[in-house]
Amino acid sequence: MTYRQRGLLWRPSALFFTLFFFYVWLRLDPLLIYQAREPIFFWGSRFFARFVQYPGGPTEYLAALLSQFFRFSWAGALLLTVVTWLVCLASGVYFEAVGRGRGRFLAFVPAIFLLAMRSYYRYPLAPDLGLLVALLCLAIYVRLIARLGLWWRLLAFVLLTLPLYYLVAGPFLLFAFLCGVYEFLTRKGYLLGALCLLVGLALPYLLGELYFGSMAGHAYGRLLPFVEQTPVRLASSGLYLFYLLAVFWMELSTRLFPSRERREGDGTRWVVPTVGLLLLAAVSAFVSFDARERAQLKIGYYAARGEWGPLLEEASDLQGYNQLTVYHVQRALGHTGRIGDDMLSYPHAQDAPIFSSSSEATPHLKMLSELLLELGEVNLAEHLASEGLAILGEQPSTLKRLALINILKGRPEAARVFLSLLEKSPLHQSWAERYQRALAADPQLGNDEEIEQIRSVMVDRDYAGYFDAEAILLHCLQKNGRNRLAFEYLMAHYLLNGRLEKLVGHLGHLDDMGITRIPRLYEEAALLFVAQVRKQRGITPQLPLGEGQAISQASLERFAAFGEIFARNQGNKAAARRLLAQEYGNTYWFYYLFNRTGSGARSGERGDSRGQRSR
Amino acid sequence: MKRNYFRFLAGLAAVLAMLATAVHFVLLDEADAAGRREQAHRLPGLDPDYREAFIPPNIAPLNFSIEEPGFGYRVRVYAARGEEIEIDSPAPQIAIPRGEWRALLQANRGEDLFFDVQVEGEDGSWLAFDPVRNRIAPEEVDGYLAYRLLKPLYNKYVRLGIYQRHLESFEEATILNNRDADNACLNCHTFARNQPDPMILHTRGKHGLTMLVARGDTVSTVHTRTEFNTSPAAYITWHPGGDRVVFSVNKLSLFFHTTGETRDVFDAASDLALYRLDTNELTTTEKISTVDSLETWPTWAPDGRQLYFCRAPKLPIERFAEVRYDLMRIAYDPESGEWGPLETVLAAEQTGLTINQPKVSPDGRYLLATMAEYGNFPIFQESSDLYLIDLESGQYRRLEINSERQDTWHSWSSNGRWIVFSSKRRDHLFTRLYLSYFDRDGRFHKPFLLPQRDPTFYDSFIENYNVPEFVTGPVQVSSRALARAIYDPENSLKARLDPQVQVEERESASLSPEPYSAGKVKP
Repeated sequence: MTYRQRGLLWRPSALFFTLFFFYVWLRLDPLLIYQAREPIFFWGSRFFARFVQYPGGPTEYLAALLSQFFRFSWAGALLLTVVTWLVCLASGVYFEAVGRGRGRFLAFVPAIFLLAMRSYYRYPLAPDLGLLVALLCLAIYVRLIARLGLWWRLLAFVLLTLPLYYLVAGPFLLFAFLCGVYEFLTRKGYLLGALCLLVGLALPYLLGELYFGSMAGHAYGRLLPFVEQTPVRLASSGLYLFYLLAVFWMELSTRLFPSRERREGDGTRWVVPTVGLLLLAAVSAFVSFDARERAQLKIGYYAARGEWGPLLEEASDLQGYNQLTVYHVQRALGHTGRIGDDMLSYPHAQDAPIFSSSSEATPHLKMLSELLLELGEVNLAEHLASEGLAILGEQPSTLKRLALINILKGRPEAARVFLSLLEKSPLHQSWAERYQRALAADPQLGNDEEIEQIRSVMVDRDYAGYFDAEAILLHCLQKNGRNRLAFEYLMAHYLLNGRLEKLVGHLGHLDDMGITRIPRLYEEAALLFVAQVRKQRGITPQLPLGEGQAISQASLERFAAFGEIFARNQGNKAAARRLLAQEYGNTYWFYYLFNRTGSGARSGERGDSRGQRSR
Repeated sequence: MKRNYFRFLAGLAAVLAMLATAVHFVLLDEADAAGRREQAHRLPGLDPDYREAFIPPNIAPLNFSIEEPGFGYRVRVYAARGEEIEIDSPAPQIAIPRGEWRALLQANRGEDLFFDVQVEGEDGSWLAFDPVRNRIAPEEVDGYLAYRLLKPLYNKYVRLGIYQRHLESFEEATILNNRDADNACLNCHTFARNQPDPMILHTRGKHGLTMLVARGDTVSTVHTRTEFNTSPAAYITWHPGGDRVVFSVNKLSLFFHTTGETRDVFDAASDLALYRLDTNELTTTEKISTVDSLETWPTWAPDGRQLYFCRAPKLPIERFAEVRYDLMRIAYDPESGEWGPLETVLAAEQTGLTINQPKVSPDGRYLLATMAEYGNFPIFQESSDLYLIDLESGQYRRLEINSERQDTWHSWSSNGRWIVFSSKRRDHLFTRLYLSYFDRDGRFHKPFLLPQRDPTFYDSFIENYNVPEFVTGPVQVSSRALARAIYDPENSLKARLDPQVQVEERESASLSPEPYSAGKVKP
């Protein structure tokens, strides 16, 4: 196959896109795109109707459907590869027409930009599909329509513009512009070229404003990724700018070197440019790839499935945390009964929350709703799940949670509404049908293990008001004094907020939780408490320990050693911190004195902590 | 050879005879079964429950699902006069053709309407149920219903919109979707005497807190905050004259429960004010804006000479469960603008319940209100029920059409024969709209769920219907005009405070009649 026939050189294509596929599949892992976005799609006319009322809607609908493939890594990778290949193919057809055979490797450049944009896991599919549809129309125009006479071209352009704008919105601008440039530069059809540019500018305003009622900003900007304030703004701006620069460069080179012949794609001349392209792509992938974001999403993936072991394993390799990941790690430790021993082996900052009941950032809503449900605070779980529903839309995980919440609240009819909606979801239909059948047999779902577990700890006394984390956990423990997860979280809350007296006051409940050995961090906090009271009041307080329980000798010795090092460097806190971080960075004493763990820095929403976990 | 031939013929005859016998029995069985029709001697299960209801003669077809297992469904819709409608369906969802339905209803005003339902069994037999009876009321309902659709909200919202539904069909048109209004909050669409024009609605978002007043396709924006009211207008009522409105200004906050209904709302401060659209002047009287009381939920009597509202003593939030509102009335002279004496129509002490959302019937005889155990936000109170107060006798009663769950947010039709209200009776979570007929003897009849083209519509619809208002015709103002007024107001006014109003120090109020704020979706 030659360049003229296909718009892309087949050998570089085969090599480039094979590597592209494997990179996306194995390195980026589209499953994590699904995890990050949890794309929403439902069969049926009602869902479809949402997308027909505004320009770009049909493309968003198609993207919502195709995004379901991200649930399977290989299928998602294949989808992205095909989309990118088609973008390049259509670009190649256009460049061939404009450049008269020049710059054939330019057609691969969009793939490099798209690869960089794809490294941002939250980047949606719709802008790429919009670009693809616009470029395919462009290819049709230069391949088929351009053969026609002026008036037929004019008619074809007009007929193409209306549906295209409706289908893709913003990317239509690129189509109109490139058509105009083609008419101007290649066909010397100045009138039609000018008309293309004029229509490109005017149509979104006229159609968006007069027919769809969109305000001008939406009419032009929808599905143009560089309009939104996102990390892909630079790459996407580069992509669109590339098309503009590429056509002018080709025109310029045609004028400067008019005698240069079109070259066929055979022989071995393709090897060097292909290697160059691959190098460029590798650099783009290397620069744009966010390993930390990938790891955090992987942790979120494990958390969603309750796979606590792999989650903690993944977290132990992480270089930095955002607050959501801190929450995931706490939850994994809580479920494995390790908060009291290992919480500070992972990065935490002073006063770091275990959670708060309100004003949580949007990404936290789903996870915290899940946690509150496990703790037994069903109403508060409903609150956060509903916030997620309102802000993030009908994501399947939210619908599932709300179905379970309504079963627990004795509202099976409401649960059925969520389940009926889930039945329209291609990937969650069978789950929903199973629960529908179970509900029909038993509206209480008394045989469901998960439901019964939550029911056993579900708060059944009405407290009204606004609740902080401590109040929430005490409600849970008042309902069920053996709610170990609530107990672990309460102790974690006291630890992180330096509430030593309260923590020590709860040591007597270790027996109730079936904890026979005092966890290390509790021991360290208790020793610190005793030392403080002794210093302040001159007395040694009695710790409310259960029968046979005592502070371990190892903790006593470590406390003494820690105190000695700290005392030696009392005049230089920074030096003391450096000395203590390696060996005592995961102790409560270190955290208490230096407002952070030795292994990690402050956690923040932007994942700005850079500490390495130490053991 | 000949013997063999006969043997062959005999064998063939025997085989044919056996086949014929088998075929005879099978066919006979099927024929018998197919012809058999048994009586169930009970009503069929229908969803929505369109049985024994009163329906308007101009309502859209009551499409329904037959909640009976079967392999085929047959429905006959008929009444005393007119052509009956027959529907055969392999699925239990029954869609009634609109034209024939309309003709049947129009020909039988005041008469009974019947659904005969038959369900086909596996063996081809048919099970016939007792005829389902509904009653066609003599009086029509207003042609349009305006409402807001939103998900179950707590603190944040992203998408919501105000829509109008043509009640004679299934057409739903957008009045304004906040997607076109820069994600603004939209609420409290208000009409004067059920007329689609003028219309008021509130917006709150990046472009400020404004009241939109739409007349024709012209939309003006009014900033209703003055030195008297630091918060903008909340619950509004048009004066019948159409030149002024009374609105409440509230300080609402959301709080939570750990069992039962999760959400609750507390009003820390509220007053009433009158705004004249013709002079752009805001005024009030201390009778409706006392510092130590909460005044809210205003509504004009149809003659415009009485203003009804709800009043409660101001209590701290810790005593939220003790807040109960009385129903109050104050006389008003529209010509002079003078306020008359204030009186208690119905005291919470008498009912033991809080009284909210009063709405006077168009003939001025009755007042429909919501009562609940406490508070001012009945949609979050499971105990909320509709009550009718006879303004002539002073008697009040709980309506027989209430359910165990929230029944609230009601609106009268322009002829006073229909009400629409929001109820959570269907699934205990989502508010759906029900219409009920109010006869001339002062009785309400079994309400019916707002019909939809797809009878399974409500099974998977996770949005709430909110603030239903009957309108006599379609709202004419375009979404574009409303959106443009939000983005780029041409006719913007700032309300001027009547200089005679004494401004006392008050609690800073909230910026919205609702405790929601805009949520941002991370891209």
